[in-house]
Amino acid sequence: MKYIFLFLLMPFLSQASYGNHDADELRFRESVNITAHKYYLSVSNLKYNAKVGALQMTSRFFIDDLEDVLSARADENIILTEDGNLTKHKQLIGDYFTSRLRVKVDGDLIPIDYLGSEIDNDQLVLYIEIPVDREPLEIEMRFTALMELFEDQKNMVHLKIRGERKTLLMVAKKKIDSVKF
Amino acid sequence: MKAIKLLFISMLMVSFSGFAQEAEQAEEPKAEEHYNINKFRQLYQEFSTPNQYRSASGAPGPKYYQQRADYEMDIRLDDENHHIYGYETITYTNNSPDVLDYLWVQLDQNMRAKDSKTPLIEGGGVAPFAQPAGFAGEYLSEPFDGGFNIKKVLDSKGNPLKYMINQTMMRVEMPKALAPGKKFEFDIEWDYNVNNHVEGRGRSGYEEFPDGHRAYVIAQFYPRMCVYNDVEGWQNSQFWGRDEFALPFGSFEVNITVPEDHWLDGTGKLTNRKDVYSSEELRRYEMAQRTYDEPVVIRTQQEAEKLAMMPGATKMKTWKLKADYVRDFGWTSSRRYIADAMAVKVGDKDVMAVSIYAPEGNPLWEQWSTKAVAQTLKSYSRMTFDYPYHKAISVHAKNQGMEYPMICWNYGRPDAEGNYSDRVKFGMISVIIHEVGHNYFPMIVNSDERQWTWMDEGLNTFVQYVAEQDMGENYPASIEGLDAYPSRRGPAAAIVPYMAGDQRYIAPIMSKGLNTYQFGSNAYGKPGTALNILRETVMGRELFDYSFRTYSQRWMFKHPTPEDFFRTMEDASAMDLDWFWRGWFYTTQFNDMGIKSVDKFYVSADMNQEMKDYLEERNIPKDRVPQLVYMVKEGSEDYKEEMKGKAPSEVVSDLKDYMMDNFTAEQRAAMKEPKYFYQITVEKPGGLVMPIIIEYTYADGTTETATHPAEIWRLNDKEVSLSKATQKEIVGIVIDPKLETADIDTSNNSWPQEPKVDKFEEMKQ
Repeated sequence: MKYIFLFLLMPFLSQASYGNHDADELRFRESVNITAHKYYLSVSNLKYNAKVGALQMTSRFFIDDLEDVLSARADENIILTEDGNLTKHKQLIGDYFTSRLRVKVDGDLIPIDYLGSEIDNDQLVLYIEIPVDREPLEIEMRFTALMELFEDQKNMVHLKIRGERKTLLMVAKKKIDSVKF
Repeated sequence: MKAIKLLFISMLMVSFSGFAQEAEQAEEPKAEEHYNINKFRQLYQEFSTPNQYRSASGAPGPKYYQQRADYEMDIRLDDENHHIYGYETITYTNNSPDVLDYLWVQLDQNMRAKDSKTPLIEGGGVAPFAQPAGFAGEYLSEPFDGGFNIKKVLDSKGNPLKYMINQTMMRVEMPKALAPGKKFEFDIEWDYNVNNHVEGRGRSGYEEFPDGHRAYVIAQFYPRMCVYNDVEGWQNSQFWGRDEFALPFGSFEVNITVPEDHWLDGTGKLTNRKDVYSSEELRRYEMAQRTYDEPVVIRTQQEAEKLAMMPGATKMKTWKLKADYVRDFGWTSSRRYIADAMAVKVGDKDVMAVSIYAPEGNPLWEQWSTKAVAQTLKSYSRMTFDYPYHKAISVHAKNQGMEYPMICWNYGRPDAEGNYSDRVKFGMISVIIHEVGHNYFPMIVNSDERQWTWMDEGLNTFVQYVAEQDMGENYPASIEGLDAYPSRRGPAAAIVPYMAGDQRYIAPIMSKGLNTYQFGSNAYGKPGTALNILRETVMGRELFDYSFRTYSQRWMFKHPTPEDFFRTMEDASAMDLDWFWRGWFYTTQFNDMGIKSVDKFYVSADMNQEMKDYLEERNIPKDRVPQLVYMVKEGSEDYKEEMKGKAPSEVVSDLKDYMMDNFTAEQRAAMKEPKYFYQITVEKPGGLVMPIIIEYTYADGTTETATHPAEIWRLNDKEVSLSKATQKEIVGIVIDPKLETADIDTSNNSWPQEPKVDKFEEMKQ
């Protein structure tokens, strides 16, 4: 049943597994024949909610990758599970994403508001708001989460503004991407 | 009188629809001319014409053939220098009707050669920053030389044969062309550097432990024959690193010489067990052969750890393995190995489920590996055919899962203190089920992995889901705290994020793996889910399972193509599934349906507006129309509150008369007159055609579900109107209530519209 809520929220959905094996990946990782993911990708969906006055974004990250990064930064073993660990580490996750996600809306840098997250299978779904008073014309993002540990991490954001769908893609060699509507 | 009445009504009907067509033509611009674009047209353009090799039924044809390659090999492992030396004799049998001018041999390790072209097809550009190890690997160190060093290629008399190496393939020239039915025997001597599969990744290689000892998981270690068949000729697609393998069947006799303190196992029957096992190990193995409930440890953790503390033997020992009806050979060897095994009853035969792991795998591996192997053998044998080999081994390798006949490597490792999360545990059980499951697809049902990744990965992911659910049921301790095994792939809802994604990064399933974007979802997730949906929602378990077993058994130890699968599924079930294959396998279409509108109608004896308009158009006086049963839409001008909930025969006297005249009292008593009439208009923004599963909830709280087959979309791909007549008032309608069709947007699936759960607001509290 958990799925229902997610799908109601996200008519314009993400790819849970954008196994992008282009670029230099094959060279380092031949072993793509396995059941687990061997690619580094997050997918986010963003749209404007006029009632709330905010851009609302859900982001999906593979939990094991996120645990690795948070553990490396905190110098302790961070495990994200539903049994309260997620609440315990809310601050840590929020601080991390606040530092790794910068959003400029129509030229202004707007601090993000991390609301919380939930576990969906092997992924963590983050709920983020970016308060703005009108539906934007231009969005620029610098989304570097996980790139400090995984060179081929790709952060992909699908946006839906005034019914128009566009995608931002941020990678280590192009950390900033922007789009006009 | 009755006859005239009926005639009049039927004339009315005909002219009504004729009128509607005229009106449409007048308003809309002329539609474009086109080929047959109906989604239910047959796949004649996509499929090749059946022939004597492959029948239209999907079965092997009367002239079906396949080549055979038999191998005799001597292999020596230089553990110190992680180097392998090999000598093999290949006997190749030409069962084709063609004369072969040359043979092609695969040299897969050349993907790791210094001059490999694999790095050259990657367009990543220069990374602006890199981890030191990555940078050093890319720019500072000599590239690892892991290609084959081919020393000799000789005919059976010892004369050198002409050969030419094109990347990962080698063309061998024979003294004379190989006629149909003839054999050619030749020898190859080679050696190569084994790669570290943990550092550089790979399907094969070694892991080095902090104590300096290594564990080897070895495959693609020998030059092996390419497939020659009726669809491709010689398999000529290079090994770039992703798309796996296409191999002919044959027998293997392999002698592997390793340091004497190593524990070794591989594809095939160990023919000199007495020479390589200690008497204690032999006794434990025999015990395992009689034990069906818990694995029996053959080499213990203590024994493995003791060997690991020693410098390592320099004396060598040879393990002899012999296998028939296999397409490949893999093996593993280390002095740090623990081994356990138990017997599993499959049909009337005993199969050994075996696990081999370094102490680093415990306490997880001793608990679940062998049981996961056992469950896999049982579930897959039920879904396909009885496992034909005598054993199935699960070997623990860090970070990778990879399959070979009778043996596979699997990840899932606790941390240094021996702790592990549920995710690690389920990841491990799932990968074991998956890789052991590959024995069925593609090791036995031997599809061409190089061309069609989904044929083994997709079918295997589907059966994996079935086996995982069985695991949860049969080993409740493995899912402690959960109701069912948490399968990542299989349930329809789990594929929605992929299906709904950016079309630029989605390829149809019917694509070569190398050329797809989201490999995991494309070749594993989507086909696995499609088959699960086909089984649960479209065909039903009985028809699906029979057909799926038919396919598996028809192509057991043979080489099927995608069409052989598609055709068999239809042939064995009497279901035309071309629409399903087209939508799910040949396109990137997604399913999105929604309820556009729901209208309620009631019966009236009074002429409604529609009829009045119609008569006026044609200047027909109203009194010329006999009594008809009129349907009045709630909310329309003709609608009156008192129409609600009345039985039609109470309202229309002619209907009552008709019933009295034509039915007996008994028949009338059995009649259930509907009082409520609904028209539900379902729209379909998605391109995929799928059945409409619709659930009605009545005022008394009961529900009823109806499934309209996908063919409901055959005449209008965008919108259809369903009618529902019922005695009870409907208070709610939901499309796909159990999320079984991968509908990418369920926010429009309910009537009345359900208030959306706002997760953002929930998170703020």
